[in-house]
Amino acid sequence: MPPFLGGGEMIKEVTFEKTTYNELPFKFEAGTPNIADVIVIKPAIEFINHFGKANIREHEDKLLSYATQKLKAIDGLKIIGDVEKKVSVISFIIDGVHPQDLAILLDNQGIAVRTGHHCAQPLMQCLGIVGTTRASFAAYNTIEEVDVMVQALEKSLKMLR
Amino acid sequence: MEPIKNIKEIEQELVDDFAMFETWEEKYEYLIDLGKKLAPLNDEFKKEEYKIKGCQSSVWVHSFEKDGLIFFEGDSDALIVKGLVSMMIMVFSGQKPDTIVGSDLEFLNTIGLSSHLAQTRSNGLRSMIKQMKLEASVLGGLQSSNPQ
Repeated sequence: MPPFLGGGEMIKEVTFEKTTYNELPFKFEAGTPNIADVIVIKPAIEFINHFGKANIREHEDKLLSYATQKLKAIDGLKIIGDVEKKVSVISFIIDGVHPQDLAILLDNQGIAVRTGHHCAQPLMQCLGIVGTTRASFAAYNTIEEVDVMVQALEKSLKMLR
Repeated sequence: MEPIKNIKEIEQELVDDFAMFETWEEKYEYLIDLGKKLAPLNDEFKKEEYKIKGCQSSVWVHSFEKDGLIFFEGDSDALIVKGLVSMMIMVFSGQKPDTIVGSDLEFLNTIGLSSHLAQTRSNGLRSMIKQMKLEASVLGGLQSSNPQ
């Protein structure tokens, strides 16, 4: 079977006449392996086992519902995607405010959100919007951080309106 | 015809303007204000063919030549980007084609906006500058619009 990808370690010898590849599995493992992820997989599993999936889910649900309630109170904000059981992400749009402006101002305040069409352009077209701003909450986020995000959002809106 | 001010002078004015503000909030508010004050672009130019590719927001730029100088108008649906468009127009509009093409725009790195936004290697801004230089070059007869 010929290798589909070239790179370090997958080659044995190269001459003008011919190329020979390394033995298996190296022949199919071109380049630098994903070392960082291999190293952190153990602590990541330990983290999940320590807290328990149910607790993590419960914590994320709490963050999601708290953030949803806080965001809904903002004038002109509309949440996109409000199914009952969803993972802890909130996509939203705000009347007269471009998601990119919001992202730039939030970024300056240390808040990381994603903006744009999220690789779902047909969906954005269907919804008739240019994109959304999306906040994601994970097990290691806190209620206080949701408050900080909402404050930063309000400050950004004041600057834009 | 000669430009009223040269690019370096305008760049320096922008650097001086932004230097009046200490905090990032004030700098961005000023940038947003520049966007709001930008002369409106006629709707006939807010079309796909005038759109700059590579921007997350929509950016339209229209250019024309008059008495040997190149003039630009533009707009964006995002306010901060519109501020950037406004600055680019201040710098480039009313200049000679060869000075536009040859400019290196140092002010973007020194006015104190966050690096990913203002650096010329940021995708959208780079596309904007590239497109404006290309139009100046074509309108000024320095190259054809469709190099073969």
